[in-house]
Amino acid sequence: MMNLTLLIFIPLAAAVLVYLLRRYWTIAVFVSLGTTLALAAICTQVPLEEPAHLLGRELVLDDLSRFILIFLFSLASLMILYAWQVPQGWGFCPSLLATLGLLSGAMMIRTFLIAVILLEMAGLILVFMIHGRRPASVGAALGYIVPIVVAMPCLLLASWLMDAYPLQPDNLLLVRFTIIALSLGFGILLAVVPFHSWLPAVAAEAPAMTSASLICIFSLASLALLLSVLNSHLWLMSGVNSLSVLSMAGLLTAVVGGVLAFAQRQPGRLLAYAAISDLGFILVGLGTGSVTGVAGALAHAINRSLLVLLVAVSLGTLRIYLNEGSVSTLREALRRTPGSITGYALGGLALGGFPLFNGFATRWLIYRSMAGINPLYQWALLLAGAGVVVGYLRSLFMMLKPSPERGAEREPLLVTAITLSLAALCLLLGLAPGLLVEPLLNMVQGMTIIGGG
Amino acid sequence: MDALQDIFLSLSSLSHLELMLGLLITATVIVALQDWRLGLWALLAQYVLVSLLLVRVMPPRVALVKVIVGGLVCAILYLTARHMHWGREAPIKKGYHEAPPLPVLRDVFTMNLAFRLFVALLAAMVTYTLGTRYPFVEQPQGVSQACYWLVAMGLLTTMLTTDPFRVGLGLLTFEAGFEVLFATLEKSLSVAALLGVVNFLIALAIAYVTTAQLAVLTEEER
Repeated sequence: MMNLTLLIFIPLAAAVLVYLLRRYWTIAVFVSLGTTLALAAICTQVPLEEPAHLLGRELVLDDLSRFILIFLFSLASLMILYAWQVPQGWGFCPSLLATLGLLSGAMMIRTFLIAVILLEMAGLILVFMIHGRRPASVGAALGYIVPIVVAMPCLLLASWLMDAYPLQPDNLLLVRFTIIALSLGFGILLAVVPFHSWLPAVAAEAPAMTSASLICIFSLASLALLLSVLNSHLWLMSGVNSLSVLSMAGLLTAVVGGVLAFAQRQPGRLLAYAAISDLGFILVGLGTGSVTGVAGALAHAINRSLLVLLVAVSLGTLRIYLNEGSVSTLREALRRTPGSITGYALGGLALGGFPLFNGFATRWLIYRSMAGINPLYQWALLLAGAGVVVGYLRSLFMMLKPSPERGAEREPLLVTAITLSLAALCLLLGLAPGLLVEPLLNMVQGMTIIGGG
Repeated sequence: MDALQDIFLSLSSLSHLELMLGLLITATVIVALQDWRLGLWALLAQYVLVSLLLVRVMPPRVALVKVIVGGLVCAILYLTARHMHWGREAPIKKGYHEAPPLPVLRDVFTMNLAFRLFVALLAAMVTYTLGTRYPFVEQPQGVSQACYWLVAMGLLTTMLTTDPFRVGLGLLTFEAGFEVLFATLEKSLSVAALLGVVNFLIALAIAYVTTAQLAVLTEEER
């Protein structure tokens, strides 16, 4: 019988092996790829709600965690495949595997305290990805490490306060302190405004797949942990309502992210601001506490990961061609980097919620879940999305400035295939959103967060 | 291990006042002085003092684990500093070590020794008042003050520098301060061990960034 601890220890062991094999890049890539695919397969086989134990604490895999883990392992497989063609630095594959193992543990363990420590470890291991083939600035790496380290005490304090609550259930101050500690901790980890500044700095400097790992994998796992905390501590919704804190933080994040994306010209930072703005939508959806809102938020979190990966893959390839000065006109770009230029344009538009794509479909659910709330909020969210779309259109035109140099190679066929497949998947999920939303609706039906408990 | 434990237990007879004084000195050295050797020694002493403070709230063996983790963390940072060839007068002439010296950082305000000492003094006054008026835990004495002090000094060190090595010292001080508090709330060995791993990872991350700084400078030089 499959044991849940395999999901933690296999990637950790594989990370060590891949690190040792780092000089044999192709072998290292295929060991990594085999590991992530095996993990996804194990995830489908392990029995749900059957506990295992680690450090004397219970590990359980529920329906939603399994769904998210399989998704994360699949994304990681795509990232590794991309890194095979466009190397992202020696630290990428081992760090990604170790991070996956720790995040699996954080999502499965029932003790919030241990989950937070595992999340912190995963965050720290991602530091080893920040320098790719060329070193990033030290400021970006430090700007990432400091908030990650500062976030942990806030969450550990929150875990202690949550344990203390049953002894003093009438203590409103304790509830307030818990919400403050949780908001600070998760706010920093998720890059919620005003704790967001580390993400654009890293995205501007680090390799594209590092930004993608942070936004698509680390951020999604943190969101899952946040949802699990809210779901298992109903009292957080009493007195000071944490759902309204989520909504307001989400609104602020979406609007500020959208405005900053509109003004941004650096593609890496633009990706980060677009992702931050999208995170705002997710928080607003969660904050509604309705079935539609929570399912929409979860579906949007999945879509956000897909879109960010699509843009990051495209950007990673285009960066190489831009550096070599070969992409000069749209025709030239479509001839040499057909996948990347298409992926960048479509991904950027979809991140801003442009119709027909998956980003729009799940945003629509969130708008619908906001019925009865001040319509000004919906307009603000709509404008935030428009800011991202305009930012991407401008960025695309800037990329296609005439360049004197020509003659670089065409992008690898595998990269084109990965990018176009991702773009097609985003279009499919936009045209048939039920494929993603329906299973998520079933999963969130029983959550206590729905209707504020 | 037993000998180490005996030494540790014999030191645990120090009063909380002596321990607090020790922490006051070590954290001030970390925030005020630029010399990496002094900083590392202060960090190691700080780990020992924090563990001695924690012997009052947790089993000695668990507290000893924190000393061992501190020793490993300092060893990692020491090896990093040697790898960077800090403190060597004659640079090695060949290959990797031909990198230029680290630039002197020019800040908006001159954050010299006097300024840093003044900030440390202010922090000491504020944290003492906070620890006395709003203690996290009443017993044992000194835990709240130590926690406030180390957290404040850790954050100050992090804010007053852009050098990754010194930022690392600040973060580890911040982490030590938080562990003082958390050890009184959660005494399990597994949590202490996991927090030790976190310390270890912070040290590795800082070592990685410090080493990468050299590569950045080399590339800029080219």
